[in-house]
Amino acid sequence: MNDKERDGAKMQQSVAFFEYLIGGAKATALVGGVAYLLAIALGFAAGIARAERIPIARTIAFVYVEIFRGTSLIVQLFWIYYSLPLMGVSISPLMAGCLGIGLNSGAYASEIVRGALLSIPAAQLEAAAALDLNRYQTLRKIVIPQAVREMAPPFGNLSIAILKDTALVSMISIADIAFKAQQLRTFTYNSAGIYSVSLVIYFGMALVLLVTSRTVEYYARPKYQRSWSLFRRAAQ
Amino acid sequence: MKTNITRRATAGLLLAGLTGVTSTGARAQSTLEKAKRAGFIRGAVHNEPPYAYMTLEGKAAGLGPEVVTAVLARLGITQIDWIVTPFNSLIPGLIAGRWDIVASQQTIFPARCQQVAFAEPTNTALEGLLVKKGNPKNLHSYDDLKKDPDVRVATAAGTTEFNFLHAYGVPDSRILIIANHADGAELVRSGRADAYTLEQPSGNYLLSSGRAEGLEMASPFTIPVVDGKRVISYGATTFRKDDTAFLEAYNKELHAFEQTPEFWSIERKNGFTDESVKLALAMTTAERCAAK
Repeated sequence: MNDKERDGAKMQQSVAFFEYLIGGAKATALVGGVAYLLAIALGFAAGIARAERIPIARTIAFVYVEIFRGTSLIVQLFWIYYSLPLMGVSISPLMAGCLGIGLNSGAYASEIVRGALLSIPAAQLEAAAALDLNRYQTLRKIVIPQAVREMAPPFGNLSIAILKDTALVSMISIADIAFKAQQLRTFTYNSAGIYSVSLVIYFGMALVLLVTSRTVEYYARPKYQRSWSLFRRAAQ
Repeated sequence: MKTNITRRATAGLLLAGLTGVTSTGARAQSTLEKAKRAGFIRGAVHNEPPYAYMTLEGKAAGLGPEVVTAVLARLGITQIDWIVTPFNSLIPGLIAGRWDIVASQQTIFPARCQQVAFAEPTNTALEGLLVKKGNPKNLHSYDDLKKDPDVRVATAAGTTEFNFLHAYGVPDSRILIIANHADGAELVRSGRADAYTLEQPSGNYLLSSGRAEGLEMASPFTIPVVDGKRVISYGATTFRKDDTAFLEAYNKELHAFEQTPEFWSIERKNGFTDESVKLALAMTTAERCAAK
């Protein structure tokens, strides 16, 4: 085989790898998507709870965040998958994957939310108090709409981090991209080719998340502050 | 008022606890019944041809799955949902109820017998060593692995080979633990490991698959001796310890199946010689579990 034929064969093989591996993208997207939604919900709940005055809410949120931030994700996944059934709680691998990643990322999300809430200037809260708004109204109408603008970039970052975390669910028998890559290796032993194609697929998915994140950031700003340019910032 | 609530609460918790305990007992006796009623059973394999593997089309193949499929069919279970998992997760997952049967032809080993139950053995395997072509470090036995302080040997997590390496005194610093069978050949090929502890059936399969460029099985190879005996592995299907009724029924059908020519053709097709299989059939699980 001369060089041209060899390149052609390699290209064909890469395409074959791609077709097999892309079958795992569905599971990756599903687990990542559900985990992300769970992380947002938990992030808001825990983030707001930590800023609240009620001690029980703050304690629960604190315990949740510190436990799930302080232990590694793969250990959490294995615990949910292998140890919980021994205590009588058996959930499907898919749910275990979504729950594990969701809980873990939710802890990080809560810090994003908390930081964004803290960044609202005190003057806003004073003005809200002067207008006789209660805590709930202040939160809903004044604080959160402004905080969302602060949260958009880190949440975009979190979505990409979750995408990469999904690779771990291959260890609990979910047929995602990493799992399919392992399957393929058993038969072709071509690790370099297989993993290169996997990287490209993950990068493609991350690119989609990046564009989505930038779009959300764009629309989170009020009309007069919208700009796609990084450097042109309208007056605050 | 307070004492009433706490008493009711504790009673409720106790009841919940009891139902949890009794329901596990009920589950244990009827894994076979539950599978028959549901119409399917969940089986686990790790990816290691020819013992057990999943083809790219999603069908389970290899000695383990093929024998298990045939025997379970005789028991009235025709559908098996196969799950692929790393080797050292097979037993934890079985105990956790993630699957009901492991068809990976796991070696019957006393430490494993304490956690799970095995059916009667259906294959034997001798140890081997996968090395770079030409065997540059001249490794022909586990002794050679121990003697050369620069040699690094790869072994899969949770396998008996890991125990044998320890028995020979190979330090942990020179043992590379891998999770997947496919990693072993890769480590040797890339030079990160000098050898991979690979049983001969898997080794022969790898060499005949045409994917073993730059690799060979060490030859000649001295079978390791542990506790005064030449190591020979007996592989069998794995069950949960409390699935006694299921195991009894399985063994009965397995014994009947072993008399049919189909059993022998499955063994031969997967590269197991008649003599090695006869050795397995002559051995009992009880003996292997009690062996030192």
